[in-house]
Amino acid sequence: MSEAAAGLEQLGASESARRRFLRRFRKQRPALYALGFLVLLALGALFAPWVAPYDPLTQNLDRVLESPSWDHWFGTDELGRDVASRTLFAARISLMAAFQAVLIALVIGVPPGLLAGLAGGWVDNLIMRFTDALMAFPPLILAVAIVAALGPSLTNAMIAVGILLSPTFLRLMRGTAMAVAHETYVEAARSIGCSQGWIIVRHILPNVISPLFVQISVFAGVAMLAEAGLSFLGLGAQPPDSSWGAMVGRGFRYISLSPSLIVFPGLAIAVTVLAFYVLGDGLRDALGREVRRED
Amino acid sequence: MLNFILQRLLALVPLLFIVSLLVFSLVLIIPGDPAFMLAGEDATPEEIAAIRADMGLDDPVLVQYARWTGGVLRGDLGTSLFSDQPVLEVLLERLPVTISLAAAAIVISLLIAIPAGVIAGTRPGSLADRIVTLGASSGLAIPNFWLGLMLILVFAIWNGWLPATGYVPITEHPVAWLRHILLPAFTLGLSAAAILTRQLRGAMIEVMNQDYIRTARAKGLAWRFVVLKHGLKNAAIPMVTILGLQANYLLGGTVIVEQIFGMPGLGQLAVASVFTRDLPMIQGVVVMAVFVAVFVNLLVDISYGWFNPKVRPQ
Amino acid sequence: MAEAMLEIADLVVEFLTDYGWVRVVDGVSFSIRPGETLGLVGESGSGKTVTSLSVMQLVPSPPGRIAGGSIRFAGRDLVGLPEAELEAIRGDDIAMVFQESMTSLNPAFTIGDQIAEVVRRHRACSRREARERAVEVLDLVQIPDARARLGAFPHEFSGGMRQRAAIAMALACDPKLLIADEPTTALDVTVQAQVLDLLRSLQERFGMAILFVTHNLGVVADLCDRVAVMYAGRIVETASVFDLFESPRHPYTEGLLQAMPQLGERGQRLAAIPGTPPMPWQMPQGCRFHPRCPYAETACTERDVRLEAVGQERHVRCRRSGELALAGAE
Repeated sequence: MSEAAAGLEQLGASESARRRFLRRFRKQRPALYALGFLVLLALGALFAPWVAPYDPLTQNLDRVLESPSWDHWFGTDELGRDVASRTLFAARISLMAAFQAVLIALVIGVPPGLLAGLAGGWVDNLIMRFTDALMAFPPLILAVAIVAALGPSLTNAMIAVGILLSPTFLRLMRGTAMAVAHETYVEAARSIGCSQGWIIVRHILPNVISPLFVQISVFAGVAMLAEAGLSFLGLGAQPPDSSWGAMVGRGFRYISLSPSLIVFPGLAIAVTVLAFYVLGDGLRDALGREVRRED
Repeated sequence: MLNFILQRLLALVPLLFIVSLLVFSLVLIIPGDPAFMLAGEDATPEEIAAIRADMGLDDPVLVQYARWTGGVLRGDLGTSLFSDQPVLEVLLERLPVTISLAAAAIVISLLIAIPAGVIAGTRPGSLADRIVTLGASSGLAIPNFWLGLMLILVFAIWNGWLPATGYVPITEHPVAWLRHILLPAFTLGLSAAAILTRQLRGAMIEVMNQDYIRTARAKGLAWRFVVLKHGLKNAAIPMVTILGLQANYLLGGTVIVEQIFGMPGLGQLAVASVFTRDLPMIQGVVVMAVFVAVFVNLLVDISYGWFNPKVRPQ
Repeated sequence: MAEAMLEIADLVVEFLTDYGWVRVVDGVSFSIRPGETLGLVGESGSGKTVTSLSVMQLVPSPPGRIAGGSIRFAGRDLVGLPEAELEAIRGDDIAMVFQESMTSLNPAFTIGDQIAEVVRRHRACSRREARERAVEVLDLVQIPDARARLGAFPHEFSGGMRQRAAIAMALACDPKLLIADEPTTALDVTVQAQVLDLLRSLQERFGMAILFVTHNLGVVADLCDRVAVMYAGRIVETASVFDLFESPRHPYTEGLLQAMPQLGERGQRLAAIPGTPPMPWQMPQGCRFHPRCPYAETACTERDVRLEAVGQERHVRCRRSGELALAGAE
């Protein structure tokens, strides 16, 4: 079979796979709701300056630490700022941070995973030893240590989270690359002189893309939780920026005066993270049984 | 058995070597001049020089690494830049707090996960199963610091049933220890409980369809007994592995939970040390945490043989 | 004629499938006398295993249910009996040995524990006495060095040994009825013969009744007194082993006999029955065997056929059984 014909056939196969995925995904009701929620949230965050009822930074010292009311749905903080508006603006930081961390994890994890899977031998061995060592650390303690060395900032916190998440991507890529590299059609492709790069693009990426998307969705949730935790501790988002975790961290001081300060940003985290998980579950179910989520 | 343990210990050597490389390299990733960074903005040149000499930052990296690792092997984790105390001394003082918190969290997570997983896994599709499954998903999504604050709000501030902060050693006053550990342990254990519940539910569904369950029923054993003896022990096999992984996460989670509940453990120390720029102390915490994690996983490996006779070393 | 120990009448078992409730066992009746061995024979999917599980009231539910009929054991109807009373009977009066010895013993507990467990469930005895009983029954099934083997796990036994242990477990409380569901199918041929010999000698010694479920007529000839042949959820013929082999009255029985390898007749091809058994949700009209039956006529496809008594203790479900001269085994 000529290469062009093989390519066409692959394209045809992936086309029908895509259609099957869409048909199955449409039946995943909870995942659809989750996706809808996340899109709305992203739009709300993007257009926050137009959507938010108040400026998130405007102080009103006459109305501090108020409970939720018609004027201020989520109440006001210690400086009289509108918590609802602040929560919406914080969504920008929280979503961006999660996105950043997953991206970093992909950048750190995917290339060595491919390398380990394709090269095998001592290269694979060395990379996997490092991965095992990385996974031996209690994750949050390692994150705190990395932030300690780099200095507290949101970006540094997300680098730390990205490092923590990378082993899973690495293993996923490695496993797929190893499995695909031994398929007959790839060995055939290699024997007729296809380059390594061609094999990666043509054969490995299509196989890994589905599980990768499932993992990305789940890890967006995990990254958001980690960012929230680090920001809560003061190791992530720094003032005047505020993520949901940072809001809870600041609200901690006023917990007995105004619980709404921590209730709403916390709920925002929980619901958003749940949405990412449910979306991941739905993607996995729609993509079929072969894709497993690694807890 | 002894052979098995020795083998496992031997296998740890390369792992711990790489871990030591990673922990040591924390000094290397400090942006700019480490001594300058660690001393802080308003440090005098003398203070900076003292730190430089103290940590041997002028030596070649390899020498620094050899000195640091040699110290660790001899039980010398250096000196705190903040308090001038030996790091190990501070760590050992705080270790029991963290261990008892993590252990209590594991106990609580098992107390939740075993009944929930068994109930859901033996009646898949039932209302109880759906409630448990939804609860487990939510348990994974709720940030633990937020849960901790909510618990403080309800049980400490509004009701005053339990103390919001502090820690009492179990050796000093067991009841007071329990009262102090309850909320933090629940906070820390909830996500582990959620993961273990999901895991146990799945394993239980699979196990209850096995032939040996039918055999046990054919022997006239009551359903409940069959579930709890024949089902649970087999379903626990994959759960043990997950429990080992969770030990790592729980140790990590102490960073946040100790901060919220004002517990003088390793996690709180780690966070405080970030703000005092006490890098040797942080390295010490990391080393200690990895040590504990590796030890727990070794215990898990050994206990695995009890659940699964097929892997039991002869 | 002795009073029947087990009497199944018009048993109907249904399973919930994509096609709704389908009848997997449809009006099955037979009885077993004390000390008798009845072979229940049929292809896989004929409903024989479900029938045997019904006696234990262990049909998985959901998706299964017993939709009708009665199963009288020692005068009591087991259908609808409270769970607690059933549990008292299972493993004590009626015991069961399953096909897959690998999967039907619990891998996480020792052989000794699994035998002692059933003794302690049904007999008031100490832990030590239960262990002694376990040694006794392991001895009975000829497991060498039984006492030392109490602490062994199933995976440390060979297939034949595991099946012996499973038999020992079933015998531990001296059951009046032993149900054996293809107990030798998963074993090597030589081991099969040993296990069958063992079952026969145990029966001679203790006199329990056996319901022997199998697809293998050769095994039936070895062990059973009477045979009930099942096809597509129904009994198509019952007879004594001798009569059945000598002169089958149902074309399906003939087909099974023809398909049976016979010693000393090398070179002769085995006649397989053409086609496959019907799925329970698409049972053929009329006689359920007619699509595969070489003797089928138009009338066979039209009306249901009843199970008729033909002579002493013989029943057959075939319109043409009177006119056909069917070939028996040599």
